[in-house]
Amino acid sequence: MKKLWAIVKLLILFIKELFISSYAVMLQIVRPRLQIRPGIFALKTELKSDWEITLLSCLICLTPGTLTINVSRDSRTLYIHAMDIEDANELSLQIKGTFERAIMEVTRP
Amino acid sequence: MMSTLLLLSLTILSFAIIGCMYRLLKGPSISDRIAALDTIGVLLLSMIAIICMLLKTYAYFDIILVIGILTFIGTTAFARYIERGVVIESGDDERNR
Amino acid sequence: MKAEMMSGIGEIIIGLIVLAGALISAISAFGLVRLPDVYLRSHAATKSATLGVLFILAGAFLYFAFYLDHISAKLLLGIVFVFITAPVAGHLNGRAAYISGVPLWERSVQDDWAVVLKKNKD
Repeated sequence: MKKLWAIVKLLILFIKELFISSYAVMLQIVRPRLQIRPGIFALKTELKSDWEITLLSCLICLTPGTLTINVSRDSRTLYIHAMDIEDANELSLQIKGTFERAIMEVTRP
Repeated sequence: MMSTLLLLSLTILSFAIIGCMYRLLKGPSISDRIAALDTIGVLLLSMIAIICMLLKTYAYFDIILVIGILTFIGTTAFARYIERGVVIESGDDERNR
Repeated sequence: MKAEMMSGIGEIIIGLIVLAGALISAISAFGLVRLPDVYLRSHAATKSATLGVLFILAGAFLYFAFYLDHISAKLLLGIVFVFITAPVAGHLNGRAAYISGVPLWERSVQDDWAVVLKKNKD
C-alpha cells in the first residue's frame, strides 16, 4: 500500500516537472535572442539496477531542459546535455533530490 | 464552433510540418534529419486524431498506433545505423565497439 | 435547453484543448527550425512535441468519451506509447549524433563526456 502511494507520488512529480520544463523550453524558443549556455555534465548516480537507471534516464529526458546523452559502461555515471547550465553542481543536486529519491521510494522498501 | 477550432488546429499543424520539412531537407547532419522525421511522425499522429474527431469516426484509431510504432522503429534503426554502421548486430560486437 | 448549452460549452473546451496542443506542437517545430545544434533541437523535438500530442489525444479521448459514448483504450495506449518512446528516441538520436562526431554549438560551456572519452583513448 505504501508502495502504491510512492508510485502515485512519482507520477504526480513527473507530470508537474513535464509541464514546467515544456513551458521553460517553449519560452526559450520564442524569445527573440537566444540566451542559453548549453553543455554536457556528468551525474554520478546511486541507483544500481538497470530498471532504476532506465526509469531515471527516461524521466530526465522529459524534464527541465535536460537530455541523457550517454550512460557509462559500469552504469554509475549519466552524461546529461542541459539546455541552460547555470551551475552543474546545483543542477545535479536538484535531480538527485527529486527524482532519485522518488525512484528509491518506489523500488526500495 | 468546435469544427472551426479543429480546422484551425489542423492548419497550424500543417505549418508545423512545413517547418519540419525545412529542417529535413536542409539539416547539416543526418541526426538533424532523423529528429525532423521523428517530429513529423508525431505531428501526423495528432493530425489523424483531429481528423477522427472531425469525421466523428473511430475507424482510424489503429492508424494512430501504427504510425507511432513505425516512427519509433524508424528512429531507432536510423540512430543505430549512423552510430555503428549496421542496423542488426552480429554476435561479436564487443570487439569492434 | 440547459443541456444543449452545457454540451456546447464542453465542445468549445475540448476544441480549446486541441488548439493548445496544436500551438505547442507548432512552437516545437519552430524550435526545430531555429535552434543552433542537434542536441538543442532534440530538446525541442522530444519535450514540447510530447506535450502537444498529450493535449491533442486527451482532447480526442474526452470527445469520444462524452459525445459518442465510446471509451477508447486505443487512444490511451497511444498516449502511453508516445510517452515511453519519445525519450528513448531522443536519447538514441543524441548519442548517435555525439558518436558520429557532430560538434556542439560553439557557445556551449562544458563537456564532461569528451574529457572521459579522451582519457579512455590514451
